Amino acid sequence: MQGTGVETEIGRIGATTESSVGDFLQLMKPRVMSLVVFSALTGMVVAPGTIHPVLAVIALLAITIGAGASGALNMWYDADIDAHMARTAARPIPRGRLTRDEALSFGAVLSLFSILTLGVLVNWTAGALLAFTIAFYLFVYTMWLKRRTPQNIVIGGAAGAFPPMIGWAAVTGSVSFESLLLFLIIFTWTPPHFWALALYRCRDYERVGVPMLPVVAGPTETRRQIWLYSLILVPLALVPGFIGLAGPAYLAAAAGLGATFLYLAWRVRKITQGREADTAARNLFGFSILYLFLLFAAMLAEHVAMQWLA
Amino acid sequence: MNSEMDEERQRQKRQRMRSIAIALALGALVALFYIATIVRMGGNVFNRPM
Repeated sequence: MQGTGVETEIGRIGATTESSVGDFLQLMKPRVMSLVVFSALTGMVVAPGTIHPVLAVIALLAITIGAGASGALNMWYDADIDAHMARTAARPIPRGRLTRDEALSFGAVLSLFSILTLGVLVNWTAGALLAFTIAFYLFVYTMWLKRRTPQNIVIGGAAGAFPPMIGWAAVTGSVSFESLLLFLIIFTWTPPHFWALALYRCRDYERVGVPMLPVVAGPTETRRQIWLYSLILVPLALVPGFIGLAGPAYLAAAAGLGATFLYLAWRVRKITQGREADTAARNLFGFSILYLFLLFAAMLAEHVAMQWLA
Repeated sequence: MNSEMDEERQRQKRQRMRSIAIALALGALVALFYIATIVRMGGNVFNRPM
């Protein structure tokens, strides 16, 4: 269906026009959902034990929809600031394709459905973790921390780190050290990932009053903290290779990817002026997504290969 | 007058879309629960002593 020609314009929420299924999909942040589903799948595959393939698909579906629901609830709450930021001005609510009420009901209903489905059909440890993740993302990150403290994405990042733990719990019905390790890898990956973005989107955040680290503490301090978190992340990502959660192929991949991550983070730290500084931050941001994806892909592929060969 | 009619028509269209979406979601949920029940219970679904 076609809208009635409302232009995307930074700073205002457009008049409501006709919405399409695509607008509801966009509300669920499909790119975030794809990373969530992939990390949850990895958690499920590397977890000890077995799960019926149909139940595994249902669990993944519920986790994916739960992630999408929290994205919709985030867009409902943040519609006012989304309208003022170049990166988010084209989202369905600022464009006037959906109303805030529609986003709220959509997010709330999907949250409830996904939690109930995972809890009833798979197990309640996984269901409770999914409920906690959605609540954490909405109440702790979106409503409480995001507009108040530069630690917003550090603490709020926990919400994005839960999916492999939920996947693991779907198979085992419990939380263990290994699943906590998967959580910690994503948790320490989040700050350098988001702060690299915030470095070159600093003005956007400043305009809407979101206290991202570059806005509050300045780019120099942000660059220092990106470097420090990278120094924690890279060795931490090697640990699965030493505790039996992953094997030598993963370890080699984690080492190679980690070295590249550190190199790019070092460039962000050292190049502080002009266009090159922006480019360095963009490169780190882009690579950070690939890094996490390849890290989990290596773990997943190695595990599947080992099972196949056994 | 025309714009009022347009608005009303759009409101009805949105409501119809919403109803269809809810119906589809509920249908999918019923199918999902049915399939999962069969998977979890396996052959025991038919194991009912008379």
